[in-house]
Amino acid sequence: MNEHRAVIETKDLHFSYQSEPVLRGLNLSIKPGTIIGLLGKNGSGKTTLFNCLLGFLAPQDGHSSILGDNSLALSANVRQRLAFVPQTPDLFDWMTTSQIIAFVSKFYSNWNHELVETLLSEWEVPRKGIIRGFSVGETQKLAIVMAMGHQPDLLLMDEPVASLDPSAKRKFIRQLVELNSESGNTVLFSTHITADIERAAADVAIIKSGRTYFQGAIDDLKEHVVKLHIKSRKELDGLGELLQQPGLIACGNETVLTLENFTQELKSQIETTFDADVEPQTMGLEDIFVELAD
Amino acid sequence: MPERSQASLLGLHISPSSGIPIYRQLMDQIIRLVASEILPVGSELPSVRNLAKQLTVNPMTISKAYSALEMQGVLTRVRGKGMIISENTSPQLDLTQRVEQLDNTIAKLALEARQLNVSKAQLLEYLDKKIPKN
Repeated sequence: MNEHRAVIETKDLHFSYQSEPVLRGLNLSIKPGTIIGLLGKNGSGKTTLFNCLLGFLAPQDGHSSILGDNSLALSANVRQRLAFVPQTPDLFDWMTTSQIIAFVSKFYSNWNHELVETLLSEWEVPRKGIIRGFSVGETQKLAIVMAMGHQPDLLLMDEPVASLDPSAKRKFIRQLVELNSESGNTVLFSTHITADIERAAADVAIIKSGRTYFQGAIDDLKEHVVKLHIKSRKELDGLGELLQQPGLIACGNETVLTLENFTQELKSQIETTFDADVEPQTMGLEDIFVELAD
Repeated sequence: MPERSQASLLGLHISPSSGIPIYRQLMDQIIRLVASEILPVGSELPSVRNLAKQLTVNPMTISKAYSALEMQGVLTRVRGKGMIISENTSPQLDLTQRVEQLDNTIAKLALEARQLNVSKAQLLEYLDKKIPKN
């Protein structure tokens, strides 16, 4: 695979349901080997994005491609190298675990029986009975194992951990890291549980109002989005102009605010301008998300 | 010693939900281990892949920490061995870099002091008492 070519690429992607716009010019470019978490509030368009990437939905405008193929015309080769786990996996529920594995494995030339068996045991996927009798979490685990069976170059998952218990969640994340460090595959998964992202993913894309609000390293995000505690000896009016946030109204000698583009230079600027003590406080991803997503 | 046990042996740990980036948490811990000579000069660090698995952290995050430490001169990349602790590590860390290591702790102290309504002068006075003279 070409090292530098994006595995997932969308350009100015627009999608509306009837007159309800969901994606409003979404741009995304994901490099090979990345584990990236997709964050966004309910209804921000995460599932719609997956559907567009996979060609299940045709965008009204813009373009999307995966593994070099246009989403609306995925080749057999790309389909072999791809796996998708939807939010609610729709499996043949009259089959048992062994039956569905035997069935699905036939579609792939490189099915890893050993890995699948190991994961089924480790993740305690039921072997007895048909899938219809499984709990939501058990069905989800089975669907994830099935998606990993052919060791895809690109793994797409919509809310994969939503119904997993903490122990299953941890096993799942460990497996993601292990596969990624061994095969260098690319993983895109949506979630609203931010703690999951922080371990497995180095990168995050935050979707807001149908656009990519931020895409990059979680570490960069944490270094630039901070809570500032300012205590000054001069009146703080004019702080909004200094921070280039005209909407910000500060008065008096003390304020706490969240900055999205914090730098040490900015800190010293505030200190000199207002004769102030400035204390930056780092924030967890969850707090950052709450601040940015609204 | 089998490599799998190295991370736990070194006591490396991360707290993902903290505001401090994971690669920084790792850097800080490795620097402290070097300073205390738990990691002596020339000792090998676990491979990126092994440490990633051990800590269940994205391999890129580990690489980032290792590369940053290499830039600072704490680690040296050795062919066939991976990352080892550099010779003469401590002289290469100047005062600014060493104080930087305390940055997060100081920020936290300042914040908590303020919440407890302890003034700067009072805090400095207590700090002065706490720290032994030379």
